[in-house]
Amino acid sequence: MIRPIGLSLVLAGLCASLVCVAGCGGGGAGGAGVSGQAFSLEAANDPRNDKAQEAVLASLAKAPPGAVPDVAIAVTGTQELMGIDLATGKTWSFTHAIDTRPRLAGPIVVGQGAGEVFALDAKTGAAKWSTKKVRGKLVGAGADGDVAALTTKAEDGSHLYVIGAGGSVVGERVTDVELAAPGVAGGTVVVPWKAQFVTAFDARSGDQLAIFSIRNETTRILPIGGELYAGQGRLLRLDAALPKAQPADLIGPPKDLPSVVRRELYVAPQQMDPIKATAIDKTFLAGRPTAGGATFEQGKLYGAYYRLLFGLDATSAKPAWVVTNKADFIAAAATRDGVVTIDESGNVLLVAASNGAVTKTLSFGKPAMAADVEVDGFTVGKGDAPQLTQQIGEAVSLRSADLATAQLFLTQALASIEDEDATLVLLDLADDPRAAPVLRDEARAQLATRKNGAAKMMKRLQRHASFLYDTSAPPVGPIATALALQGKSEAVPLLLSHLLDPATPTKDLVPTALAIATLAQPSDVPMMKRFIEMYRGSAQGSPAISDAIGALANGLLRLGDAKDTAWVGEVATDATSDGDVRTTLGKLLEDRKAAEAKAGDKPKGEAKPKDEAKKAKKKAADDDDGPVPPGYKARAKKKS
Amino acid sequence: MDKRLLGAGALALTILGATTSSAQKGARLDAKEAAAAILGNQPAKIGEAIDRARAAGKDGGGQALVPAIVKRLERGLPKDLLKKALETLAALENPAAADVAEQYLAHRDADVRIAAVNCLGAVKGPIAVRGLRTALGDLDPRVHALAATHLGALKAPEAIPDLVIALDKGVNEAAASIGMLCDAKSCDELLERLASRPFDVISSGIQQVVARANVPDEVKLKFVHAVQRLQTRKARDFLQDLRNAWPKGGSKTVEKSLDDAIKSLEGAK
Repeated sequence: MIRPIGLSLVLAGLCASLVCVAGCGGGGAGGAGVSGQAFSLEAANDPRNDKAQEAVLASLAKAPPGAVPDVAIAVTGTQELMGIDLATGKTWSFTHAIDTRPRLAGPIVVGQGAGEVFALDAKTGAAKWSTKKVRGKLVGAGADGDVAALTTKAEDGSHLYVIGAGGSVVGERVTDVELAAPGVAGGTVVVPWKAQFVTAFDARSGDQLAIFSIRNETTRILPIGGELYAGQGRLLRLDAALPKAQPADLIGPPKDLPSVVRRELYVAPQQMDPIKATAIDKTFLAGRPTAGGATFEQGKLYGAYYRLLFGLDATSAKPAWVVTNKADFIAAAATRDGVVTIDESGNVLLVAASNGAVTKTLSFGKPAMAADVEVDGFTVGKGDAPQLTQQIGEAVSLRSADLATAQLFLTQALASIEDEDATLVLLDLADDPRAAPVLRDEARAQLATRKNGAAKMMKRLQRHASFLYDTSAPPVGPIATALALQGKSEAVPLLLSHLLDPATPTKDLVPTALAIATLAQPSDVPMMKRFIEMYRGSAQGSPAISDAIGALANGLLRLGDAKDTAWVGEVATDATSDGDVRTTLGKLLEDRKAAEAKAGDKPKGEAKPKDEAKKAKKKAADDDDGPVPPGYKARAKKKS
Repeated sequence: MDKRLLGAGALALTILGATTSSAQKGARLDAKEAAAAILGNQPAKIGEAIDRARAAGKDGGGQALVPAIVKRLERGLPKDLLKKALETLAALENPAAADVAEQYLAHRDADVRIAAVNCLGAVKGPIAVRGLRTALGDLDPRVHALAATHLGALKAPEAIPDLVIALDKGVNEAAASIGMLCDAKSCDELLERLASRPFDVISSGIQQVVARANVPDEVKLKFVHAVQRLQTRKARDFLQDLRNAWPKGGSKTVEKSLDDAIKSLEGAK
């Protein structure tokens, strides 16, 4: 994963200048570092880079990032930033012009507006420092203790600023290379650039300590649980194993992640620029890497789709739970036992990983335009929540075209839930004319495969479409197929009543007729014939009607009454029957004849000549009563 | 062989008797031959025979072919013949056609259902009322509007609640039918809708109420006064039409009320 950077990778045209504001020499990593232009691959060619990398990683292990406070912040106006202490629920407010979205950076919040960059204590909102010396638009920020690192994008290129206590700029670098969001730990500033390289600097001296090439899109350096991680969609721990890291060491979502939530744990910093949250924010993906492991805490990822929040299995990506909220989610951070989310209404929801229980709701007290949240030791606790089926039922009942994608994903998830409640959810969805067509179609398809819920399905069949009473036809076709699967012959009269209802959608005719054909009893024959008679001459070229007639006729043949079989033959040849109907029934009868002939040709059941001889012999033996007196045979024959 | 097919011969024999009867009345319809054609399997001949039954009319021997046409409908026909058969049964006004007409209210083709509704409206009777009430819930606007119209003519007051719902759902034809069927209490339902539904719609029902001999004067007066309160030219013209059509022997009280109302609306815009 981390590879030595050879000459072949040196990129031309990179121009970086170093302004060492603070005194040079020394460094967080405790070594002299590497030579060459910063943010270029020159430094990577320094033979000391391998050792330098080891030194930087050792230094980070020795002086890891400090714990971040458990806080959430929200932009509640173009002039107001608010924060909330997750542990106490205590809020703070800070009034300042806000030009770019503020960032939580460890212990501080970094904001920008009215020509200055300012930092607040994340926990209390108290002003820490401000400076007008920072040029360009804020890209990212990282902080640890009294040292903060900022990256900005200005007309003359990207800037890296190291800010000391009190807001003094202790170091600055400018480069035409794109810089992303830095991190700081133990006096080492770690800066991602060109989305795949990371350079470590000594915060005090400004020395370039080492360069890492990371074969994973890297636009962020993040302190999580006392460790620094690099990455974007997937994360890599900045520890001693880094130089030998393999693709399997990347901590990221599974490949099967549904195309509902964002596919990346984090996105490029510029995508978070707008002060007002965008669709990217509202479809977040969050997860907390386990300490030292390559997976996520509780085996869960958390994904949002506007008003919906999913708990996803980190391996299979299957939904474990879903929370339906009143407002769109806009930010989240995973804890060790759940997730902290913020929604547009300004509520902070603490959600348990195990079941999606909302264990607590905090509030900023006003709507949030954008938000950020970071947690360290914070836990959300446990609570009661409905079963997944009920949660899905609630989520898919929302009538919003915007949610159809996520609702489809949830509906598909019902396929693996075999309980009757899931059947009812599918039944309701398939029966809801206001549901998005794609959703209804999926529900119909799944409903047809259900092996339970017959009583509820039959109850639904009691309803017919009526202009007068504003009722619509139930999803007869899928219900019919499911009832056939369950062998519910008692449903046939209901199914027939729908087959003979002009309001039954054409697409439901064939599955309904097929189910009737499978389940019908002799008592159902008259109504089956009624349908055939009604339409045999007026199918009007409708393949669905012809096929339904064919299915019913097949049902009649299955029941095996000779008169009914003959009747089907008459309908098949009657000139008043539609051509399509005659063809359908003719083929049906031919197939049946062929099947019967085939069955008749089968050796099974037929007595073999040898068997015949044996039987005859046996019969003769059975019949043999010994010697027959003269004239007896003649008498017996006469008698018979 | 299906029982119905087997029964064709017996049916033809029955009709033979009818032929004799028709012949005695001078009709030219050969009912035996026509019934056989209707029950046969040649569409052209079926159509011709049904046409002959219709041409013969209900008093000219057509009635004798009702059983054959009913049987034929039960066995199924091409769409054009279905319609023709139902229209013929409607023309023959034989209640024996009610069952099969009701059956065809379930046909997926709205044209066939319209023919069935018309047939039920013509043959009358409890089965027809039941069928037309069902048709009032048909999703096709042409079908439920036609059913609403026929229910009024069928004197089926039990259909009033459904007709009121239909009226509220925009089936204008229901207003006249309610006017034809309502009692004092249910007439109020119509009156209440004077404020919420277009005047032209409700006035069709009011016209029926005021014209009916079996409606008490006080109910009629209530309607006249309600229209008067609208204070519009349209209301005045409507009352004038009622007055013009008022029978000479009709209630003097209502007559005076109409005159007074018209007078009070002079100059209304």
